[in-house]
Amino acid sequence: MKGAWLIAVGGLIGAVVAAYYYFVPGMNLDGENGVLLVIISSLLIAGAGAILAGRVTGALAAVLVFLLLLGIIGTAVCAYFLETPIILGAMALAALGWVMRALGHAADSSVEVA
Amino acid sequence: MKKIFALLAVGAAGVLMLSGGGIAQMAEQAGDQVWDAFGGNQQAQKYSTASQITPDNVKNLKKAWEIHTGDVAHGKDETSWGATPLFVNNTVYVGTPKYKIFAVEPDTGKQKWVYDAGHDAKLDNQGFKNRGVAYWADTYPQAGKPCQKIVYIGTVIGTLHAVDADTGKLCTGFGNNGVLDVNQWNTVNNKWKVGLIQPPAVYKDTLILGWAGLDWDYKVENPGTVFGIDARTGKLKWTFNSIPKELMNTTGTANVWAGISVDPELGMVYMPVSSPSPNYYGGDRLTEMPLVTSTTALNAETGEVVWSRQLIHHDIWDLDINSAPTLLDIKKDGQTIPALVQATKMGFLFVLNRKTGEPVYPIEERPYPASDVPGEVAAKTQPYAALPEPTVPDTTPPVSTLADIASFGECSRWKAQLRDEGRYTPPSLRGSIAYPATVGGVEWGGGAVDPTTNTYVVNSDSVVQVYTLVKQAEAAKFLDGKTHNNGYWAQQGSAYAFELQNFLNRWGMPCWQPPYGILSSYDMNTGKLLWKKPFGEVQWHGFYLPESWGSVTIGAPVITKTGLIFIGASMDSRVRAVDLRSGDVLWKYRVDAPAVAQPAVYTYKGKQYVVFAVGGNGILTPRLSDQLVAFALP
Repeated sequence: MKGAWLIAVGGLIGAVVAAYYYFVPGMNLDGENGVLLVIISSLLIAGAGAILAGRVTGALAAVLVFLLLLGIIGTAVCAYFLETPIILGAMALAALGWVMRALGHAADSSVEVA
Repeated sequence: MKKIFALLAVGAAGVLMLSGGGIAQMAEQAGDQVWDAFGGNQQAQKYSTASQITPDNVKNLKKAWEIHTGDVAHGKDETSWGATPLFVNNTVYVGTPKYKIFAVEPDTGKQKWVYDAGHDAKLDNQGFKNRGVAYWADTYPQAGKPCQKIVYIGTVIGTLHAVDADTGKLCTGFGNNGVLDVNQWNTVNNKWKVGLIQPPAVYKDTLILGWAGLDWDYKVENPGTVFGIDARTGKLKWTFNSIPKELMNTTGTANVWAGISVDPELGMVYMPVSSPSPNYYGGDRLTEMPLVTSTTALNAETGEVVWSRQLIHHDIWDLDINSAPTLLDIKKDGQTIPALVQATKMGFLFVLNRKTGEPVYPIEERPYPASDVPGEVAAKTQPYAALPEPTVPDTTPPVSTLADIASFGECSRWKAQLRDEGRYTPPSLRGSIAYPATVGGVEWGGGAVDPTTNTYVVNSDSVVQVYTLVKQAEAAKFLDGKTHNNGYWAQQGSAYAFELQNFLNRWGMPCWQPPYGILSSYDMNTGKLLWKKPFGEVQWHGFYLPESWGSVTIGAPVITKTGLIFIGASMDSRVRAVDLRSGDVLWKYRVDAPAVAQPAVYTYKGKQYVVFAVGGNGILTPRLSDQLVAFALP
C-alpha cells in the first residue's frame, strides 16, 4: 500500500517538474517533445500508482505492476537523456515504491499461505 | 627620469601602431587585452594573451553579467545572430540582427549607449542576420573632435552606418550623414540589395567590405564586388571583382561573404571568395574563372590582385571558400614562412605562403567523377591537401544502423537510389550524395591559432545532404512562382532547378553514422594532427545524445595563452572550455541557444572575461536568443 503511494508521488513529482521545464524557458527544455513525453509517462505512473494503492488485485494488478516497471524505467531513461536529475530522482522514488509494493505483496501472499 | 620613460613608452607604442602592430598592442601597453575585430585581430587568429583563466581554475568560471538585446524573432522573419563582440576603447560593442549597436560596460554589461540603424522589417534577401561590428581608430586622434574612433554596422539592405565609438552618434562625415549606401555601386544585374552581414576588415584607414546574397535563386546575379572604402568618409577607393566583366551576363555572386584577413606589415588582405551562381549547375558558366572559389590576396591600398589560388575548380556543390584565412608564421626547415591557413567546407586546410600563394604543404590535383547531367561538365581534377589531414574523410560515412532500423530500412533504400562516389560526386537528376556538402566541413568561423606555438584548432561538421537537379518545368509546381520554396531553388534562367535534402529518415534521424562534429588540433609547423575528438552534443527533442556522437557546429574556437579553447557552436546550447593539449572538456555552461560565433576574450581592470553572443541559427536548431553573456572567475 505504502509502496503504491510512493509510486504515485514519484510520478506526480516527475510530472510537475517536467511541466515546469516544458513551459518555463531557461533549461533549454521548453517546448521539447521529449519533455512532453515525460509529462505524459509520469502522469500515467502517478495514476497507475494511485489505482494500485486502491488494493486492486488479480490480473489487473499484475498488468499494472508490469507496465509500471516499464514506465518507470522508460521515464528514468528519458530523464537521464534530458539531463534532469530531479525527474531521475522522482523515478528512483517510484522505483523504490515499486520494490516496496512487490516485497509487501510477496509478504502478504506468504502470510495468506501460512 | 620617469617622464622620459613615459615618453619613450608612448613613442614605442606609436611605433607599434605605425608598424601595423595596431590598436591591440597599444591597448596592451595600458594593461588591458583587447579583442578589436571579429577574429580577435585583423589576422583572424582568434587568440588572446589573457592569462588569468587557466586549465586549473576554469572549473570555477561563473557568469559575470548578462544582457538581452531584445532583437530575436522566430518564424518567417527569424533572426540569425552570429556576432562576436568587440572589446576596445574600454567598451564592449556588439551588433544585433536587427541592426542595433550595443555599447556596454566591460565589467558589468551596463548599457553605455545603443545605436539603432532603423531597419526593423525584413526588407530583402537575407532575413535578419548580423555577425557583429567593425572598429576603426584614427592614428593621430585630435582631442575633442568626434568620430576619431568609429564603430561600423552593415544592414541587409546594403547600408553601412558609421557611429562615434564614444557617443553612439552618427559620424556625419561618413557617407550621407553617417550612412553609406553601398547599393549605389551595385549596378550590374542587381537582383537584390547586397546584405552587409559580416563586418568589414580594417587596414589603416581603409575598410574592406564584402557582402552576402542569394546564389541559388538565379543564374545571373549581382557580381561579387569587394569594396575598399575610406574609413573616415566612406568614399570608394577601389573595387575587386572575381568574375571577369565579359562573363557577368552568364553568372554572378562569387562574392566574399565571410571574414577577410589583413596582414598590416605586408599591406595585403586575404579573401575567401565564394562560388559563382547558379551554385549547383555550371553548364552555362563553363569558361574558367580563376579567381572564384579561391583564396585571393589583394594589395590593401589599391585592390590589385597580388596572388590567387583556386581551391575548387568549377564548383557545382556550393562549397564557397567561406572563412577568413588565419595568418601565422610557420617555422619549418629552419625558416620562418609567412603563411595562412584556409579552412574550407571541404574539410581541407590549405596552408599557403601568404606572400606568394604557394603551398607550404603540398597541394595535388586529384581526379574526380564526371557529371552525367546533360550540359554539365564537372572539373576533371580538384585540388587536394593531404597534409594537414582533412577534417572530413573522402568517402561518405556508412548508413547508421539505428536510423535504418528505426525507419524500416528507409536510409539504406534511399542511399541505394543515389549517386555516391565520395568527395565531389556531381549533382545529378536522380540525386547525389553530397559529402561534404554545403553545410561543411568547416563553416564561416574558421580556425584559431596560438601564434607562439602554431597550434591550430578548428571545429568541423560531418553532414550528408542530397543534391538533386530538377528540370525547370517539373520544379515549377514545387516553386509555386517563387525563386525558392519547399526545399527547391529555381536557379532561374538555367536548365535546372535544385532540390536540397538532408539525408534524414522519416523521424528526422541522420541516416549516416556519427560523429556529426569534431574538434581537431594541429601543429602547423609540421602539419601533423595532434588530436581529434567528437565535439558537443546534439539535443534532439530535448534529449542529449551521447558525447561520442558530437554535434554539427556553427561558430569557431578561440585560444588563450594559458592553453584553453573557448567555444560555443554546438547544437546543445552549451559553451565550453577545452584543454588545448588534450581536447578534454574542462568546463561547460548552458546558455539560451547555440552560440554560433566565437566568443571575445579580454581583460579589463586586471580581470579576464569571456563573452558569448548567444543567437542561435535555424540551420542548427529552432532555438534562438538575444543573450549576451560574460564569464569570469569569482
